[in-house]
Amino acid sequence: MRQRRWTVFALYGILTLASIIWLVPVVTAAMISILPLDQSGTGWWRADLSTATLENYGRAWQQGLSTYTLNSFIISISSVALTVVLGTSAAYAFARMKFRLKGLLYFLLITTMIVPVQIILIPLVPWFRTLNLNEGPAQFLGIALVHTAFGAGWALFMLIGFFSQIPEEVLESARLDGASEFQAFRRIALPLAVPGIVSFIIIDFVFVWNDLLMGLTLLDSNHRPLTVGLANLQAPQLNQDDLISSGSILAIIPPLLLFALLNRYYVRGLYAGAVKG
Amino acid sequence: MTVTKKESMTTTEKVAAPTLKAARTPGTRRRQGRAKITPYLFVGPILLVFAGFYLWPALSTIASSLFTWGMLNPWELGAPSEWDYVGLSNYSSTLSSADFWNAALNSAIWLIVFPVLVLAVSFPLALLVWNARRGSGIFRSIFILPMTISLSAAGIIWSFIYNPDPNKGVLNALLRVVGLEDASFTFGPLEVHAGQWLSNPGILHLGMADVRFANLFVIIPAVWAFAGFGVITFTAGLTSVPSELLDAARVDGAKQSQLVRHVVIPSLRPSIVVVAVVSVIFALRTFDIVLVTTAGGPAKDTEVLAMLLWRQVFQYLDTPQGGLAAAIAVLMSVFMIIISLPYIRATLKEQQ
Amino acid sequence: MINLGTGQAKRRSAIALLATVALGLATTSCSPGNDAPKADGPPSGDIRVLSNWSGPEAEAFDAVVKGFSAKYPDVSVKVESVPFDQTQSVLTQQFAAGSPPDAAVALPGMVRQLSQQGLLMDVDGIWDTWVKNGEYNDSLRAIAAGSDNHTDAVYVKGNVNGLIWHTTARTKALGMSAPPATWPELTTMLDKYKASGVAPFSVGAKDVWVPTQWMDPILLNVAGEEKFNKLARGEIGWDDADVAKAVTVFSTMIRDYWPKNALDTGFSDETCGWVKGKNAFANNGAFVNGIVASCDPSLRPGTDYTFFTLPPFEGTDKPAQAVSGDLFVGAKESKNPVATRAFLEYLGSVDAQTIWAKRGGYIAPNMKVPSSVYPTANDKAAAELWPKDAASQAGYDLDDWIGGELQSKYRNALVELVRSQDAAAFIDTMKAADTRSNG
Repeated sequence: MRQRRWTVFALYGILTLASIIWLVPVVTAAMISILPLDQSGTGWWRADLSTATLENYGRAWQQGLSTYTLNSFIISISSVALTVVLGTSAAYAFARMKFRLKGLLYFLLITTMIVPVQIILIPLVPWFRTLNLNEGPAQFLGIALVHTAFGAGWALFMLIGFFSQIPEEVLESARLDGASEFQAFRRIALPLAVPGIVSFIIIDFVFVWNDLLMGLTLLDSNHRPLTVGLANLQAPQLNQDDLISSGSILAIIPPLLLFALLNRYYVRGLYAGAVKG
Repeated sequence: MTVTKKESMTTTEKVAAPTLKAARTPGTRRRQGRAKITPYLFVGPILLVFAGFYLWPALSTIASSLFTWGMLNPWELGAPSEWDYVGLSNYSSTLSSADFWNAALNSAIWLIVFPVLVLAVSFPLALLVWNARRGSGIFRSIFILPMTISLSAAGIIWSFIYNPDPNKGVLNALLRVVGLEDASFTFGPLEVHAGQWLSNPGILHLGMADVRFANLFVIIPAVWAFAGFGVITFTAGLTSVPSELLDAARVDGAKQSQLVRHVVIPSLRPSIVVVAVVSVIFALRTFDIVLVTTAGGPAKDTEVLAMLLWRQVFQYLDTPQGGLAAAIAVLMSVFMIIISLPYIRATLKEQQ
Repeated sequence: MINLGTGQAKRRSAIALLATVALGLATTSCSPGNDAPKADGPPSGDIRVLSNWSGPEAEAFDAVVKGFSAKYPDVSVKVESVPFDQTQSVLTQQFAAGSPPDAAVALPGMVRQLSQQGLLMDVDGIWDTWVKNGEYNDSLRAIAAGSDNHTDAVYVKGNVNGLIWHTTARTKALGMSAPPATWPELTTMLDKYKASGVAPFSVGAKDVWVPTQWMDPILLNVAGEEKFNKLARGEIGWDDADVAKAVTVFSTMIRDYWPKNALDTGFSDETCGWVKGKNAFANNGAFVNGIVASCDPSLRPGTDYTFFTLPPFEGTDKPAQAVSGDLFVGAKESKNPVATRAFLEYLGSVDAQTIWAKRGGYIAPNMKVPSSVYPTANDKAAAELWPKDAASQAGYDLDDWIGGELQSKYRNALVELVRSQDAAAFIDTMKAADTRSNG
């Protein structure tokens, strides 16, 4: 009995310590972001908390982060929408239909998960120029299409399982009722795959929102996302810790909110699958 | 390039074994005729996007690796005669270049250290969370939190932690408290500089070569961000450990450590494979976090392949190096396909 | 986020629409760009400008742009700012993507590389007038030269390097009444300070350009102006005896007078560190004058802090001055070449540079800008060092001059030199990297 109490004590002790270590970086950034530079410059842990202010956020926002944030939302929402729409229907076909070259096409799409993104990065620059995706808002369409191509493999990998679980009889009975394949897909299959689709939305959103390399390479300065804007704040001739920290906290919030909001569905999808094993 | 994308693999793995088998029941003749077009209407759009924005650029990269060209006049299929065809010489000069091998070594360090640390951190954390009856949700959320943070933001946040000024950086403030500020040690061939996290944390003198540890301190923030993925995967996997088996073992008087070794780890094997494979995939791509923490420096101590390639394309303009960069991209891809081939094959087999 | 219940028909039409858009984009790509520019008449329309300044310098550049807008009200200028370190990659990316800015900040290495591909607008005509009017001289023009036998850039911002900054409170305590006039006087002074147990210099070598700012004045002082410029142009190698001697002097300076953890911190932290008394001196350019206020606004330039130049290594003759500065280029494919040319001409003009000079931390490269416009004693003294006539010897920033992969290798070798203080290894590395002098 005594030994068990000791193990429980040790267990929570280690967990608490690990949690503290895990939270220190975020707390550091959050503290620096709400303190004036002269306060955080002498150690945020002994700063005068009465000087806390949201002024850094205001300045970071005005110094261009507002545009970057808007860009990030446009890029993320359009990319995720496109990937989910195209990926869901393709996953359904791969799960439930027979067509030529299916195995090869599946293999090709799946390799997008494994092959490093560097394999497509360089030619995309002149390719965007050829397609007139290199200027103005067309760049958003361009990067959304790249994210879609890049997310295709992940979409298939995640969603095929959901569609192949559906008993054939259910779909067949819908067909016998006169439903077309599209109707069967929309009315029967889609609702059953919602947990998987929600999981994919979270993952794809977080992925696109957090992308730096594509945004840095393919977009001009006015269309770049928040990740690039954040990296840009590290100017070599100025101490901008206040702006950088508030920018990084701002950048964390949207994916975190999405994750928190949809976490329930996400974990449900995960566990539902796990139980069925 | 982020942590969370890879989540998908797990989910699928956990959710169900995806199947590629076609609809079993043959329909009417009319339906069969339609079925020939219908699948293409479903997969066509994504295949078009894939062909235009993945396959085509990937083939262009492969083709352009056979030419000498620079980014200010980028290679395009339209007019290949504008550039010098050099055969495989971009590959031979890459493979004989010291800069390439320096970057390859740094990437190799990522490929080994990163997955090992991710597993070594997230597996025990997941087990602890699993064992915690109360508050497991809170602990799990804390460990998962950094998963939603981009690696560029993670790198920036950790730069505050690593700040060498003990009035700003937490780590050096702690070192000052314990009296190790600016301390240096030598243990045989190992040289350690406390507090110089990103510039010169330590050197292992191995006669012919020095191994510098700056990479380690770029990898740590990435592990911090990525471990949540391991925790969530293992937590999902742990719920699939058959409780009858655990109970039976407990009745037989098995100790906790024996339970873990003989029951938990075998049931978690698929999750371990997934976490390992995904961290390897990610480790080779790494770019963001290096760019924001060290930009490959000091000197080239933390320059990984993705960083070298980027430099060749966008910064080394005094000689045209686009073909060399393309060659590196191809080499990276071939390497990745080869090492993940067993995994791909297993996955494909599982699905047939 | 997405209504998955929408009809398949709707989805298909959306896909069809996308496909049409993509195809449409692809087919229109062959047609020429936007409206043909007006060949004459007063400048009008829009131009896009890329700059890389931040903080007070960015504000100063904005003021210059305002001055341009006042002169040419029909032109609307849109400024994009990119981080200093990324200027080259952003420019490369935008030129490669076929959407270059109309005008952009650039350094000589970049000017030569862009002009080699025929991407830059030549500004010979503007320079001819400037040189004739005595606003610029030919040695400044040579720095803005492209690889296409044209002058492809204008000089926007000048700077002099190798200034040893110090606070007067600190030097008074050190008993320094006058700046050291000879090298031994300098080292005596530094040794005296070092005896207190603190390294004399603040060095933010985490920023890779910082050690390059040390190498230039030492090369000029030890090896001389002629060797410096030959080295920059690849006419001699790093194993030249005088160059090698300079490298050795530099490595000794690092060993004796730099802090042990120079590679840990960046320029901005170290500048403030020096201002707040962490170390006594900082070797840097004239632009530091504009930054001190951000660390401690109470310090008055000239009286509370000032600089002296590095003394000659041998003898007492004033050594050649290390200079640097920022250029601006115009894109040949600019859709608005008239306004772009007018903008470039304005940037190099007395009017534009007076606006910036009045704000401090800046040296006007245009020699007709009167010294009365500089706001502080430090700015005036620094501007005096700018090489105004052909007889005054100067060496332009080696690091900015070479550019490209060689620049990167040079910076890496300097980091190694800071770490090991091994001059011979540095020379070997650079000899292998810089093969231009091998014929």
